[in-house]
Amino acid sequence: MTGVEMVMGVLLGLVGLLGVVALITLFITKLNAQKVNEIKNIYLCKMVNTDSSIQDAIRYIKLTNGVNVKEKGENE
Amino acid sequence: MSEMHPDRASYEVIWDKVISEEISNYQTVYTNCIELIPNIKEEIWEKYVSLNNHCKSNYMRASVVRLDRHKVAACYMIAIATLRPMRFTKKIDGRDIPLAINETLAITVGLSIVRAFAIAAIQENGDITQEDKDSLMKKFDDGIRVPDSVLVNHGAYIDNYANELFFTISEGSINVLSIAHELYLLEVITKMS
Repeated sequence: MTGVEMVMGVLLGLVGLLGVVALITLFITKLNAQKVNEIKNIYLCKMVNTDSSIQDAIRYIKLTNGVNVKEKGENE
Repeated sequence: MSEMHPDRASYEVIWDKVISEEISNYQTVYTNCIELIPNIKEEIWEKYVSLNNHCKSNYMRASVVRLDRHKVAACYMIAIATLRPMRFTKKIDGRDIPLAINETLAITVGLSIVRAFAIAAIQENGDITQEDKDSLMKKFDDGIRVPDSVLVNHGAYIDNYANELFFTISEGSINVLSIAHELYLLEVITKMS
């Protein structure tokens, strides 16, 4: 085996090794990414409500915090 | 008694006693300067229903059929501020009016709703005496308290709040939960005053 053939052989071997490693990395990354996407965000809870009914509250509704018509009229 | 939610009958009361009345007030203050968008009453209702359902679907547990007071009020506020029901049709004294009237209308409606709910909750509270109930309810007589000029280092609180609504809506970043949180804090300020 000549020196050139040996160098060629080493280079081919390296390329092949890199290719195999790349394929394995791609496969594992995709597999894990799918698993991450499937993980649900379980530490956030949706909210509950124990407040009054709006039908009870509406009895007390009145206009407040509004534009003061009288005050604006006096200012103009 | 089971209720349908969102509740249309309640909206009719809110429309008559708050929204419609406040719009009339603005039209009185700025005589002949304001026009309304067509079908405003139904537009607000439909937008509110959409926001209400979005809230329930995305933020609340499946068992929840109605929202708490602050989210209800926030949905109404966002519906009104987004639709912008009032338009200025002319200048006053040759100048544009630097007033976010739709946003301030939204704030008025939101605070009126929170106040009504707060009073209802006080009335229903079986853990406090009638004297304490009367004392608490008195704090809401004049509406929800907002920080006064001593506590606000630039402009008026309501004007700043109106600006916030305008810009967050314009930028597409308004959120029911944030507005509800602000309303909650204003209710707490009123209770603790």
